[in-house]
Amino acid sequence: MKITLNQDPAFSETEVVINCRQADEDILHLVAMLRIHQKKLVGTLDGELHLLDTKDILYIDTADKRTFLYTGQAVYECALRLYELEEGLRGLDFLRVSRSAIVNFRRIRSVRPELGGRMLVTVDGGERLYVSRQYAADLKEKLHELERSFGK
Amino acid sequence: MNKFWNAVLEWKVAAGLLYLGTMLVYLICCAASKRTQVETSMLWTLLLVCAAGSLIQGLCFTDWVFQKLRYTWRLALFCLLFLPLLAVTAWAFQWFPMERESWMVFLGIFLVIFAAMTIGFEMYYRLTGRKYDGLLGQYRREKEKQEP
Repeated sequence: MKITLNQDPAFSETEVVINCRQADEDILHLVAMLRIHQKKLVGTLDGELHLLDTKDILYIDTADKRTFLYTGQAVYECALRLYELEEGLRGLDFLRVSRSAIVNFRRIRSVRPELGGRMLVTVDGGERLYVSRQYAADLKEKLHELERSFGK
Repeated sequence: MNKFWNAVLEWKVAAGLLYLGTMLVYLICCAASKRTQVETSMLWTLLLVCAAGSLIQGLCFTDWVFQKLRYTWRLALFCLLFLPLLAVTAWAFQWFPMERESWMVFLGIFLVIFAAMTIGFEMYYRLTGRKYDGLLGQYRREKEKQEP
């Protein structure tokens, strides 16, 4: 794959053009990675590509090495792996809650402490996700951070 | 295997904490009854009960064994396992005179402590949950103001 970078002060905006024979999995992966920088995620539904705003994503989970984006209205498949999404969405209010899920902190409606150090998160629309003990500490820390910032 | 050793470490900490709490209560009871000496066998017995009790606690209130069990069933299971353990220990080590009245008092104390702890935990979970919900609500309002 050839990568060409053209720098010219005359360009009014940054444009990424991918020239390829066919938009295969690798290309879709590349596009998805680029889109994260625009706070967008690319999801596939019924064979069609959809550009989703990160604000609309409730949570992301993975099953059988496939990644799914949940918006409340639909479930989209994403070409990126969970760890790539975690990395890309860092700083965008997304939080890893278990080995197989990332939740949009902004879309969490309620949080309940659970037995054994776990937590139960309810997102908009009422769907519930368990926060494993391993990741519950991060969620608690985030909530304590909020408490400290609101207390000021 | 890692999960097993993590569970063992958690059990060790829980048993230690339970033993500490039990010893504090025992100390207060001894002071109240003006006892100045205790038998080491009693300390060993309490250690054994605490170790077994925390194991039952772990079994009932964590996801070590039961991943999806209703809280009510967990409470019932805890009672079903811990009460016989205490009763057998009390009988084997003659904690009190083996009379019907003493057994009723023993059962009463167990139920009162169990109820108090259950209510305490329930209150803690509810209040913490309410506090978290308040923080989340405030956070969302702030975010909506910044990025409507």
